[in-house]
Amino acid sequence: MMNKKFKCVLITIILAPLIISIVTFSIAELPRETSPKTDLTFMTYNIHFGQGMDDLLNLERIAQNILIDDPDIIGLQEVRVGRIETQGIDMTFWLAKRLGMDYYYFNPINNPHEMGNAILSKYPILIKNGYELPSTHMERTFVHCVVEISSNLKIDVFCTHIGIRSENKTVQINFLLEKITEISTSSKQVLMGDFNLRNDTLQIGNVLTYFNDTAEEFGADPRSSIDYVFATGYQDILNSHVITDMLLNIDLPAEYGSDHLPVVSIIRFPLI
Amino acid sequence: MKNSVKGDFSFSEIETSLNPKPFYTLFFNLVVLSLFFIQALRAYVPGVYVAMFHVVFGHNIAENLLILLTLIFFALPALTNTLCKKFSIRRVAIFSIYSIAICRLLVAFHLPNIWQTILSGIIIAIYGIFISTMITFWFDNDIKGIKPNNKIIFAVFSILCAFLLDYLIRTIGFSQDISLMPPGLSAEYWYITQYLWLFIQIPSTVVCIYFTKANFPLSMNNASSLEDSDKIGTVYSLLFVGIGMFWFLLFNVFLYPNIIAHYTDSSYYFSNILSIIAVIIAILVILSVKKKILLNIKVSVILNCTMIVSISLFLFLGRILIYFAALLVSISLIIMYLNFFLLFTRMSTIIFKWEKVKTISNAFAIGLVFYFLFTVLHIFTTDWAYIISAFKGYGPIIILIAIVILSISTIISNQLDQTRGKKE
Repeated sequence: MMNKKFKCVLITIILAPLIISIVTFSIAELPRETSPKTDLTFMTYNIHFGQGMDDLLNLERIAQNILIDDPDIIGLQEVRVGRIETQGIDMTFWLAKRLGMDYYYFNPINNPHEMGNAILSKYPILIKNGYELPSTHMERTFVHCVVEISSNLKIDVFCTHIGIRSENKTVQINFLLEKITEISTSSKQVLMGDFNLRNDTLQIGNVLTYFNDTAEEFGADPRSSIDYVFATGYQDILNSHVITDMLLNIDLPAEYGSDHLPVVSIIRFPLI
Repeated sequence: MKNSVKGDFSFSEIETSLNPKPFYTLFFNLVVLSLFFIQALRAYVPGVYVAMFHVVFGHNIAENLLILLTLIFFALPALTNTLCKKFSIRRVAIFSIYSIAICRLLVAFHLPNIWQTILSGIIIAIYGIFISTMITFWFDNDIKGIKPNNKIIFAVFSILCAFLLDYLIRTIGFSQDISLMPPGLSAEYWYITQYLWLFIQIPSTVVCIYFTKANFPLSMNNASSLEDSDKIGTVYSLLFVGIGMFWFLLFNVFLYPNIIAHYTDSSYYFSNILSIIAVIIAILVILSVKKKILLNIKVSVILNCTMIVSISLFLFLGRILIYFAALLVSISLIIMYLNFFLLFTRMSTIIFKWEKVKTISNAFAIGLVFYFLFTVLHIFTTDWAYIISAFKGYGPIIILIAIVILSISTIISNQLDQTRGKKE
């Protein structure tokens, strides 16, 4: 007869993964509790496929970078899903589960291997859609979600990543703004993302005819960031900053989860 | 009828014949080192990918070229025979166990990317040396009471257990790819908590080394040697391309429930459960069904045709068939594991014009080379398709070609059993 202890070990090795996968399945969709509020923290973060300045893939580090400001709604760029280069991870799914948020991810329809954009929200996402931007090189997209903060407050949230080639930038910004006008469900709108443009460019000037730059409105220090949180239909900007130090009193490349820094704005919305 | 199908594998037979301590050592080493190999293979390609990216865009060229040079490691298993002649097979086997255990421990310390990738490459290469020396030890020892067939089943069972443990680790969130998933841990302590994996890694490495030192399972007494008439043509070694295809398919697509869920619009949790069930079913089939049944050419053809059709449906109609497509993938996964079992059986039992250890190590090296070749091809047809636009959209075709090669390799290896002994 086989040794009883060894038998137990074998049964554990074979059944433990199955039992745990079923348990995680059953607790995956536990309802989250959120309280309605009007001061909301928005964050835009280009996560660079989860690879930090040290080239190491570490989504937990991204999660910890995000948790410094514990935002209510996050716009993510350079997100990968199921690619060998990033160990098959569904990054949006992983981060959403890790942070306890609802989520939506979109990548180009004709090239599912291309990087995509995502929106994560502590509040339920009522409407979720993805759109392709006109591109001549590397398909680009933007995502649109309608987030329900309370029965009186619903916000249109957009997240995008504009291309790096100058011939694409103007076309993509114009398309984006036209589409936003067409699909928005309310006057309360937030547009976040990596625009690959400085704030003195014509294209950003064009965006500012529709939205306000929350950093500029708040009077944040002049910066050279290409990541923005634009908004309209709000009551006040309570704060706006770039998270530059992930670990206080520690200065290591390992503390940065990406080659970009998270940009945060706290925006107060009117209820009506 | 039942007896004609049911296999006669028994753990007690091996445990009694081998004595408990060497038995546990053999099992533990095979499981744990296979797990380290799986983790290293998964970590290595991303490291090389990043290095290639940096070299192309001119960042830290020297450092990143060093990473790319680690591809040479893939040829290391082919040197096993030479090493064995110089240092004895036992020493080489023990050295390989120590090296893998220590390298994996070092990786767990979150070293810089360059060292993480280099160490992963070393683990992959030395696993080739480990598996060829260990299997040669295991099979060439004439231990009374253990049938040769049961030795193969035991080895494959241990490797599949490593796949199950890998699923377990990833389901929980502990893995090399994602350092840690500790819900609720506060941000300021993450820099310390990411090392929690060391609580598993350090004991694994220590036990592995201790077990090997205290009771390395076998000695080379009574090693059986096969007659010349049992040796077959070297050209047949190419059937081990099938092992490379198995790795390519698994490590590029099918080991990841996320990918299956993404391309079938189904749930990750559902795919994860199905993938785990697929490994369990494959294990149960290997343990309980007579090998003769699996080697039957008709059975093999039917299974492989089912796999090819299922994968085709997944690749081209995945988002229409949704959960049914995910189910088809898990059926294909069972067949892939069975194919791996059959190829492994061939790798372990046949002998080419070379010596046995060389047969296995060369088989491993051939597998690795084709694994990497197909991985590069797949990357150029998917993520890097913008570099050569003519390649764009051929990713599914590459996967299909790999599936067909895996099927052909398995079927040929089955036929080889019937023609064994014939010379070229």
